[in-house]
Amino acid sequence: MESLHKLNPQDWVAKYSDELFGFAFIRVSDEETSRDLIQDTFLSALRNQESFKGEISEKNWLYHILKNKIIDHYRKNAKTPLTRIDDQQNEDEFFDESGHWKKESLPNPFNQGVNNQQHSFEFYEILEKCKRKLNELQLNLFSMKFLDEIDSEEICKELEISSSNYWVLIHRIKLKIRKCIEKLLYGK
Amino acid sequence: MENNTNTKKLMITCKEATMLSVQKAEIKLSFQDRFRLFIHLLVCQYCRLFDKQSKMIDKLISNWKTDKKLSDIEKNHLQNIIEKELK
Repeated sequence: MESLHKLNPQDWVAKYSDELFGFAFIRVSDEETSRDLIQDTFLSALRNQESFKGEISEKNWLYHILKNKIIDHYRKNAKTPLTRIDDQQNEDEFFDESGHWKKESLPNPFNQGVNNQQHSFEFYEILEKCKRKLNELQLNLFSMKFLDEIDSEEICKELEISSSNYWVLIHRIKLKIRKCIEKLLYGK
Repeated sequence: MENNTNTKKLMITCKEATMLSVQKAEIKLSFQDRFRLFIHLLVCQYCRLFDKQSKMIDKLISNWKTDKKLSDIEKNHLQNIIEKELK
């Protein structure tokens, strides 16, 4: 039988802090928020050591706590009224009244190399910039759907939005991100 | 799970087609919607491109890695917090 995992809090910072920080940063797009989330994660891990049964590794346990902290963060953000305003946007920036692409929004092929591993770091820098252009609600939705791969029912529940609203938002996020990537790849 | 094209017509607009492209990645579309999307993508090069790029973006996002790291000062700070809590 495999022995149970143990906690060594003295080693957490050296062993896991960078990795956890990167994980949080990709999702919340803010360094300070990411630092706070890591600190909260360590503190709540320390204070709840008795809930660690040793069935999963210390690392996975810390990830589990961090993920919950990030979900709390999404939930808190979703409640901020300001983040909701932009989404009853009056004009469609991508399609005309008959549902056809507006001329300035027609998709163009991406520049060469996006698929290429060597270029992927550059791509992620671009993605990071494009993600920052989303509002808070869109940002949370983006992270929950595309990074955490949470299913739509749960996202709707957490963010208190309807299913049709969810798809309208996801549709717009995808259009926005795609267009932004195209623009920045060309702008180089 | 619902989807947004309630129209019974065969030909859909680019707005509807891109919505179906986006939904397709997560839910199983009805036969009618799959067929409508298929027909639309046959005739519309822009939505075809969107569909292709959209898939590519999904894949790249799910492999997202960052090289962001904490500074030594920040790490020391965290270490101190932990040591203090352990006392």
